[in-house]
Amino acid sequence: MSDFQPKIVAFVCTWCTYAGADLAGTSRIKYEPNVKIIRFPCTGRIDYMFLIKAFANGADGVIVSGCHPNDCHYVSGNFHARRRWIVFRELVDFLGMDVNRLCFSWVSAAEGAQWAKIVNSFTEEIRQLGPYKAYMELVKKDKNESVF
Amino acid sequence: MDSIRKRARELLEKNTVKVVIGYGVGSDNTVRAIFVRRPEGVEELIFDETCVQNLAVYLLKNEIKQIGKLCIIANISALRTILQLASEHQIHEEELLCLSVTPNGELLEFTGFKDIENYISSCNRDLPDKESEMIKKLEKMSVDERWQFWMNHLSRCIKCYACRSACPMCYCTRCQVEYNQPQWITVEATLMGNFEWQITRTMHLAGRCVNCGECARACPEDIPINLLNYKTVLTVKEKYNISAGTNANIDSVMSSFESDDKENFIR
Amino acid sequence: MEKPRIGVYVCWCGTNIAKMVDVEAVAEEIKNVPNVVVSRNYKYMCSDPGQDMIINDIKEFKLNRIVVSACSPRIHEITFRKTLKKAELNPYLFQMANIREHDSWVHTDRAEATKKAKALVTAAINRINYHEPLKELSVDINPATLIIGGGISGITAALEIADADKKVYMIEKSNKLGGYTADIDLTYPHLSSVQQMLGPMIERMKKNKNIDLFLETEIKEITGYIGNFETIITPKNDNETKLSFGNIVVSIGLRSWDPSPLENYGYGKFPDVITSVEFEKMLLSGNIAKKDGSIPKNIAIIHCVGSRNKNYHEYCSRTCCTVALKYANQLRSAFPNASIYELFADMRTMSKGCEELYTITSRKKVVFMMFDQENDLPGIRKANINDNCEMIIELNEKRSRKFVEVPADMVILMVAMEGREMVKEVAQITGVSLDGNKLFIEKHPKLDPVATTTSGVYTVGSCQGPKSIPDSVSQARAAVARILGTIARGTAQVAGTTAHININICCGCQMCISVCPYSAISFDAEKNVSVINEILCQGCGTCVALCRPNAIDIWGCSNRQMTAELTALLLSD
Repeated sequence: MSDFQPKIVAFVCTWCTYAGADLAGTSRIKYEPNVKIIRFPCTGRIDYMFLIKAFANGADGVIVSGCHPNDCHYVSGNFHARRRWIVFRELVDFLGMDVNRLCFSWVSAAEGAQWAKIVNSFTEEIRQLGPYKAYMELVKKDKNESVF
Repeated sequence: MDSIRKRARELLEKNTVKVVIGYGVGSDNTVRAIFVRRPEGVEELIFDETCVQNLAVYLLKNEIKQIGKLCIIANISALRTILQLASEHQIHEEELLCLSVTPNGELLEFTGFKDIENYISSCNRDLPDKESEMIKKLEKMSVDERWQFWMNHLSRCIKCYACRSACPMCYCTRCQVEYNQPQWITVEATLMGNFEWQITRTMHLAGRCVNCGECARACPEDIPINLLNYKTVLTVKEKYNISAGTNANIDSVMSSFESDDKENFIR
Repeated sequence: MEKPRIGVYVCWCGTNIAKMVDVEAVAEEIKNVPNVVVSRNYKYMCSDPGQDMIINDIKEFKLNRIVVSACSPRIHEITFRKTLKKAELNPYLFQMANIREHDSWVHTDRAEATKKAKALVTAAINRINYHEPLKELSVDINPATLIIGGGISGITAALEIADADKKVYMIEKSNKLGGYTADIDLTYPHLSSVQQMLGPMIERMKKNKNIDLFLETEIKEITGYIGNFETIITPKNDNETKLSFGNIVVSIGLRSWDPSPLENYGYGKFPDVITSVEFEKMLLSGNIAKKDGSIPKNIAIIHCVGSRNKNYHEYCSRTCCTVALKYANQLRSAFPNASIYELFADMRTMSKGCEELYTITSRKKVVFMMFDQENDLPGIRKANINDNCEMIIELNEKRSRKFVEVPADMVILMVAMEGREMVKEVAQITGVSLDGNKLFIEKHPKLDPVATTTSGVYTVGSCQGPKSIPDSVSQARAAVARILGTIARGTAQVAGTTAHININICCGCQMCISVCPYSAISFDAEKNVSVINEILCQGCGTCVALCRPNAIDIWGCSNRQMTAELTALLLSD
């Protein structure tokens, strides 16, 4: 199981976490290559549909990350996002989805090292959990076709 | 029952309202919705504990709206629906008049949303015992068992969208399942599509569902989808201390926030 | 819409990317992705030849979509959008894949890094199929400028703008202008009087009819956007005043650090251990004396107090080494026979004329001793009666590797400079981010150091990082040049990446109106639908995610684009 290379996608806001990941780069902090970032203007933009579509298309884990509370570039986008995540996470847990495959975090533009830490620890957690077989059985589609 | 018929007759005779939406007897002694437009029709109206259907679902239908001012015989679910729809700017005070009967037979007539708010605040808004027990049972299961439970149920879904038609809150002009840029949810009834549809339906009703249970009653496959909404009702109540359909002038749970909303999972 | 014809450019960034990512293999492989017409790799895509390559290809191959796979879009997205404009292609038909900051710089396995680069580029290509030409909106610029903070940077900016005959609103929290500079006696390296320089500037501020001065005033909230900001202030002893302005200069400076936590220096315990700020006040008053009024015979100046120290401030406070040399000179003039010691960690005298000041000072019988800032800070203890001094500083002198006891009657701690108490509030109000050191983050650390990521907001002076007076003044003037340029044009372009609404689908629930932080959405009661004001909309997209029937989408980050990027990212992995 430890050889397993999980596929992880990260939905992040451009102002904080994307900038934080940039800082990890300029600081040359090394981390696992499994997480690939998709850039949004704000966590408030991140529809829960993107999260379930990530799993439907073969993600083993999903990260959602943005500005710390009170630091949102758009004032309150992250507060709305947080409410959405609280309700969404409770719901999918109730539906039997593995919420350990969802990682929510606040990473600021100054926290390059924190971003690397989250990537490394979450990658390791997903590596321990293995591929998300249950969800892929739900998909039962040709693996190389986008699920939309 | 007599008091409802008497008042409904008066309203129609005086032309105060154009139509009364109420309960009547259907085939095989079932209860069904009836639309009374003439005074003599009020004799068909009934109201007792079997009248559980949430008649507020008809309020936003164009065919009904164009008739003119209406009167609705509203049970508690319908009254809460009216408040929730009002908070979402879907109905206005002057468009309708509500009649209801208290458990001890007293006729109630609501002319404004404030009256309804006052009455609702004294009513029992708890989830039904049977469903509450079921939610607790599911919560005690392992994640895999819950997953299996829902897969067994959702594999029967035929995507008829009866749950959506029955829901008074599902009033969108175009439902997200009909959106195809991108096609968020598969058109055919695949297991994944069924699963995603229920997530969508529940998320869209988060903080808005008044737990009338109409979705599950409408489901021809007896899938207990109301549990998903009820679970979210509990989440919203526990986290934000808000119940939908109690205030006609409040921002929805999902379109508001507190800067110190509590959670324990964000890293 | 015409069929996409995509050009893809994989940048080496010299060796920055090419060392860890097989750029040639990436460029080769993505040739097979649908709609890719041209795929190239080149040493520096941002260079003139790199940009010319894109322009030529757009013309020669009739490209209508461009993907550049290089550094972070936060650095060069604007550069390449301008390139597209030059080639008469809409600048939004562009997407970057970040294979430097998010790939080559953070990974160690070339095969893995190359695989990741391919996935990121493929995702960008797949997404750009759904890009549409967007129009940039033009907004009028209110020629007034708000300046927050009346230190040397703020004053410079205010006078410069006022001299160009434009309105300035100067907000200062304290009851006087001058900020930190007003408490300085002489400047380095030429030891000229600050007061002679600053006094006339403050007089001009007070007299200039273009400058409205609000002392003892704080800003609670600013609304609006570039060209059209507004705030309501309540000046002391005055009524609420509404101000409208087009640009904002943040110049709140820094404050000095309280060194009490560094117990080895005994600040607060020994009366004659004082901070550089307290010593500067002595210099200004013209009376250098111990607490008991007597003249100190042995004076030690300790550098790097709370700076370059991972427990307090990791950064260098930049001016203190040279200020410490200035103190040694001023002390030597005052007390020709005193013993003066400079205890330093590293001597950093990098500005013009400062190294010369070091040389001059070293010839004035000043003893320089070095200590290990990381592992072995000096310690101060009370002297014994027969030591003939008040205190003894114990240190392991780094160069001689000898333990030394330095006698001292007065110790000056060169304390760090740090963010002011209200810096977080100012950051929130102006929409500018802070770094981990509570210093404002610039738009680009090298190429755009006074602008911020919020259009129309500039940060100048020490609040962006500790600075000398000439550096602060230069920044203030640089920001003013930008602002006067914007005012002269009269308009500014605002991004076309705004939300838009399909009124046939909107059901009028008005939830989007509740979530919009910019009041950019209003309700059309007649049509029973929400309406978005494109100029007020800042493109956060919170309304998009909340709109149940998907009546709202957003240019530049549409549901279609993002899902295309997502699926390609996962499937090409």
